[in-house]
Amino acid sequence: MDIAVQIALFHKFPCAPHSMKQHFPAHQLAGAAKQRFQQGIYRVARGGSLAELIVDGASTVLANTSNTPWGMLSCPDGSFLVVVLENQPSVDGQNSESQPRVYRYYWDADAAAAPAGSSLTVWSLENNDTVRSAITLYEAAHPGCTVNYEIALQDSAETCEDAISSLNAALLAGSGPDVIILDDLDWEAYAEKGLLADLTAYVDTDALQANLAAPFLNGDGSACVLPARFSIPVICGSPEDLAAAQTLDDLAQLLLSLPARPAWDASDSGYYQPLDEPYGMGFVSVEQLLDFALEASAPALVEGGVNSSAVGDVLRFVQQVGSYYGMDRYQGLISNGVVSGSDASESVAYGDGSYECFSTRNARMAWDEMLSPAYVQAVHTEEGSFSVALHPGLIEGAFLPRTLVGISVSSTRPEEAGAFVSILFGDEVQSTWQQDGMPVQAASLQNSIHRNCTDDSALSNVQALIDALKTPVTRIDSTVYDTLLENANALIAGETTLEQAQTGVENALALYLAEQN
Amino acid sequence: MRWPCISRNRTDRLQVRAAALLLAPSLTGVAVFYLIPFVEVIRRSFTDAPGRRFVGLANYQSVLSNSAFRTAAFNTARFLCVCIPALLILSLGMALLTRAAGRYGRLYQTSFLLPLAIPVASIVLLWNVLFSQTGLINAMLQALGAQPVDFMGTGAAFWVLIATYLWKNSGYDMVLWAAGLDRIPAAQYEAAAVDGANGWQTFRWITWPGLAPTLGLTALLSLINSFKVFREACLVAGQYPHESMYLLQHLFNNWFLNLELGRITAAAVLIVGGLLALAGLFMAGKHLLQRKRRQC
Repeated sequence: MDIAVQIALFHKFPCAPHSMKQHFPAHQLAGAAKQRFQQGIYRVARGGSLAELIVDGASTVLANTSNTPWGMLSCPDGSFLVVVLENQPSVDGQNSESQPRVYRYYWDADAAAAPAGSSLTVWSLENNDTVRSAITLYEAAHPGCTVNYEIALQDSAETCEDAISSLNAALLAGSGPDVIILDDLDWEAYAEKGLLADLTAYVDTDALQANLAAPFLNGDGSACVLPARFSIPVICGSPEDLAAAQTLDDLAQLLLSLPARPAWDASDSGYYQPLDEPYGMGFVSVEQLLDFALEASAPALVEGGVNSSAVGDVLRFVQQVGSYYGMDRYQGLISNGVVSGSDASESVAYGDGSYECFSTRNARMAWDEMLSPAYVQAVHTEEGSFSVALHPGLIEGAFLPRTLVGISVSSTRPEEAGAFVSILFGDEVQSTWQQDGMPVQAASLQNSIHRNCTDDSALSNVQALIDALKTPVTRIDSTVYDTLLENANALIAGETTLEQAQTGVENALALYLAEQN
Repeated sequence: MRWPCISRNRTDRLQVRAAALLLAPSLTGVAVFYLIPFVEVIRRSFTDAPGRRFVGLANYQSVLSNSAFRTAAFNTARFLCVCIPALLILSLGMALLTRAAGRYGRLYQTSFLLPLAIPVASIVLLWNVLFSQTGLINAMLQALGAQPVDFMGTGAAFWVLIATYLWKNSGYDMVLWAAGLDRIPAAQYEAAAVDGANGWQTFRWITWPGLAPTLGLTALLSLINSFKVFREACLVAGQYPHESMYLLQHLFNNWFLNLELGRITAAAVLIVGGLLALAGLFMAGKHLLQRKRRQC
């Protein structure tokens, strides 16, 4: 079924007439409910649990996460009125402003059941807001073409391996999606096997941030995969602390010189009480500690086979900090975080590492994944003496590429796929804030930096961070990660020594690496 | 080999035509779902992953030089050489015993088929309950004063796999053997009894020769079922189990996730070629034996 949209412009939300059936304030939605609202309008029977999709958000303004849903009314005639605060850049491009708009979604029995024209298929493992934003713009620019966005792991009992197997079977058979979002996939394998087309015909790589695009360019200037977004793993602290934490070993020694973190989380009453002396950094689990170590070290572990030295460095860091904190007692601790922001800037998400430093003030240093330059501004605002530096690790200049885009070489609609990718890397998408990373287009990145960083110190801090980036770090293979985690837990519990854990990892990965030789 | 002489008799022609028509749907299905795809597999073994560029024997060289393939092939061959003879002997013994048990044997026959009906996920649960570090078997061993055994993390994993295969498939093979035993005329046993033959002589000269046609079918079906043990192995021990139970299916599954279609197809062609060569050797040996018997 197709839903036609009628746009009504109001400057104030109208009073609901008595005939309106249901109304709820959408701005009070949070978390999964808000994400769900951005995917469309769903209906759940009273007492039931199965959600019925009424309006697919993929082709509507609901999908644009820079917009804020403010309210919704269900009308007696079955239509819906939705008020959306649309976040748009100001004329000078330095700020953004919100404009309220009312949209009406109603059932049109005369509309075509299937859209005339072609259909482009975009595939990803998880939902991607940048892609949704691009879909909205693409369909507006190409009225005859619709985009079928397939999210493999959404509302599905399928495992990640099954989803990847299905994708591979389709690609190797010469069919499959036209555009593939390669987040959490081994993008290098897809590129090496010749399954992805060259993107440089559709993306001006010179317009991208040079040091971010360079690792994805081949020797002949072609590129099969490019990230549309990126984030930076960072640590925050005083200049003295940052200078003393240049490597994983140095950081471990610094954390060991400070008090140990108690085994608590946000549900503990003492969590919000200030300690006499802060501990080094906040971690709530061994997984989080291992993730921290791997964010700037993962590629070094399986470089040319199992790199014993690199494995030992990571495990030693995890053992030292984990044992000191007594993480074998960290059972069932829950993560905490907060999101804040203002109309003029992009929202900042504090994870545990930042929350325990800037909110509860019990951690001396913070760590986080920087999704926006606003994070650095927020850090400088919280602690004027603080700076933000790159994660210490085995890899220099580590950054996390996001929304990795590729076009299937067997796509039957390469021009349409190319047009979609052009929009993904175009000004409109790159200049909007989707809460999933910073833009890779150089001009949009600079605009974002200047829009969010009001202090010169924050501005130069961000610029220095970005200029230092050189190595993309993608998620480590689950086989390697599970082996590392198993041995890390054994190390912290004192069940094994570091040398035994190193050998355990090598033995466990022997088959994994033998397959790839 | 002598070619059969086809009579141009009208009746024969009609019979041949009727046979061809009746076989056509089945042959078409086999061709569409097995033969044609296998021809494509052979083609892909000489190309890159998308199947566009000819790469010669590079895939075969890559497979034969890969240590994971050699490990998996060795483990699979070892598994087949141990489990198939063991299954045939065990299931034949069960068939003979249930037959000797008379009417109570039918009850045992039914109960021996139950493992085949148990879902794979339930078997995986059973494995964990029995063979995990804190499982029932280790608890019993500790109660007896012995050291617990890491069944899934050591070479014992291979024997757990064998035991599971035998437990699951012995009932099925027992039914096949029972059907073969039913085909042996009772008069032969009566004649043997009159001649004073004992149990072993009866088995050696009447039962075993009578079961020869059943042996081939049972062995073939056991071979096919042996590859299905991968489901339990993968669900319990994951994509990378202990080296002793790392089978060819593990390798193919992991290669597929890594888009190594060239290697998968080359390995598949090598395995099929190896099995066909073995079958050819077996047929040639059988033919030679028959010729010698006729000459005698």
